[in-house]
Amino acid sequence: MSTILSVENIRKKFKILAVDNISFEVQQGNVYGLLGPNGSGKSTTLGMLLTSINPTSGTWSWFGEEFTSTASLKRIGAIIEQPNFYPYLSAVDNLKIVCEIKEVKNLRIEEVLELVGLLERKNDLFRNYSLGMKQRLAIASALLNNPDVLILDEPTNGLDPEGIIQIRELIKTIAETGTTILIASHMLDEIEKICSHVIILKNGKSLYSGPVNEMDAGQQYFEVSYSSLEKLHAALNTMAFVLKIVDEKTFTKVFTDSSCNAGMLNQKLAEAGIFVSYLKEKQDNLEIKFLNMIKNK
Amino acid sequence: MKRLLKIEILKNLAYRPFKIFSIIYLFSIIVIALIGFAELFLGDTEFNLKDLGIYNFPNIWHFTAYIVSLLKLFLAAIVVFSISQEFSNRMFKQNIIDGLSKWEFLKSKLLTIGVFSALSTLLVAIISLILGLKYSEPYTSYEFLSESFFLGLYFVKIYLFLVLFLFLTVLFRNSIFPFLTFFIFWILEGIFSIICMLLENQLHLPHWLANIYQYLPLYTIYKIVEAPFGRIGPNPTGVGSSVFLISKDVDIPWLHLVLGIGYIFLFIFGTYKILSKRDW
Repeated sequence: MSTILSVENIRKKFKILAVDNISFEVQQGNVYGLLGPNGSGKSTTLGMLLTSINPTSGTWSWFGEEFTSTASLKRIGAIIEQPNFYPYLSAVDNLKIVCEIKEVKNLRIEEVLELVGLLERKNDLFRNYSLGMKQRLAIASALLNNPDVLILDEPTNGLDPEGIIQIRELIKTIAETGTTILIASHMLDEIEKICSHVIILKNGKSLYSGPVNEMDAGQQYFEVSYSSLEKLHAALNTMAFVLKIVDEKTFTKVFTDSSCNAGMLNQKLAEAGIFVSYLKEKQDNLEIKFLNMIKNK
Repeated sequence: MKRLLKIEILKNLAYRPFKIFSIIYLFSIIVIALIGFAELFLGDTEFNLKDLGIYNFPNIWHFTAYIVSLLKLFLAAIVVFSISQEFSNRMFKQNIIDGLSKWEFLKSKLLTIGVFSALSTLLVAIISLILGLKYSEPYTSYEFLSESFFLGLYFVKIYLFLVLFLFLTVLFRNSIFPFLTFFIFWILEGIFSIICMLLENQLHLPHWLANIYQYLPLYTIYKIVEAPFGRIGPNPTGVGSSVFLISKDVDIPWLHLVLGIGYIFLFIFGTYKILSKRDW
């Protein structure tokens, strides 16, 4: 496994400090999520790594070569913020320009259009495409050079649910081929499904960088339903391993220490004469972990 | 270079403002050339262009170059529209991310401008030859080419003019402000030149200082191929068929040529600085 991208202490100061000393590494074959709320510095970071924004300080290297050469850019496929193409040209003509810029032959144009499902509409003008089609064309364009790494900045931004599903499926398909992917998003459920690693940003600072499963273990809890809240609370309050009880609309969240498991909780409740209608063991998902992390630091 | 030209052709040929202004430009040149012909048949009594002697070799090179250069604003429109859309469609940023360096982007635009200037110069040459070969008074082989250096001057003039608009378009990233700035500059340079001339008499300024307005960019562009009408004077001897005589006293404006080439480099440098220093 080789290092594709290594970033050291990059900073960018506009009027405010948009990116503050961020460092991370991207290894070949992994899928990385760059997470953070709006304005956390995701796009600025990618902009610097792709030469459209000049860094204030810091350094990075692509494929072992310092900063970003045009040779490196030709090994990268990137879509940023929104799909950019010449609106008065057809999809095919737009892709021909990208091929010229990337110095690759036109041979893959049909193949990538097929992959994103736009082959039928290849001669339509870009301006007549729907947003979902534009986004898919952007992905097709990023794949033209068979990139060593694919960078996607908010690929599902502004799409309708159907468009989101299409893009998500597409990204999964690409990830399965072993392509290294760096995907910036605030759609956490998307990231959770495909990323092996995450980099979490807030206010331009990096809060976490590493494998998803090594993030602070989320708190364990159980969802429980019983006809009488009062009796349930009374019973739970007698149990030593229960830390916190939170009532939700249709169930009650029971936070416990790690000594407890679902069977044990069920048994204790039954001993107290409470036979629950619903019991499920839960772990915080990425979204909760992420929100906790952002809140705490 | 071939790659950059190919990219430019793909980008521009289907772009509507490019097509429209190219057609307007060509059409205007053809109209001017036709006026050249038509006048000959209409003005048979008192005065016609032929009597001015402007179709004669060698000075026809100068007259055609100057008259056609009056249409250069249409060429500037092609440049401004096709480059400003790179920014309004966020394609500059996308091109950069796709792997075109900022310098390559600039080079591709400079190449396009070079092609426009060369084609325009070719048109001037063709019109000069057609009109001259048909209507010129007898000429020697020396006279035939002695003022053809105006073709070279014309090329530099057009290139400088278009590079100025390239600079303004990259500076403002839209299609309105470059023209607005150009016209404001035009007026300011005019006012400045009047002030200089007034002050020269009032304050007895040294000549070089009073003439400083002549070295500003727009005046430099003008001076590279100056209006030729000052060369026309009455024919005092009455020799020859013309009532007028066109002065043979014309030189390459070396100072303004060098200054103009200097401005070309300055604008290219400025454009490159903006492209590389700004965050996109």
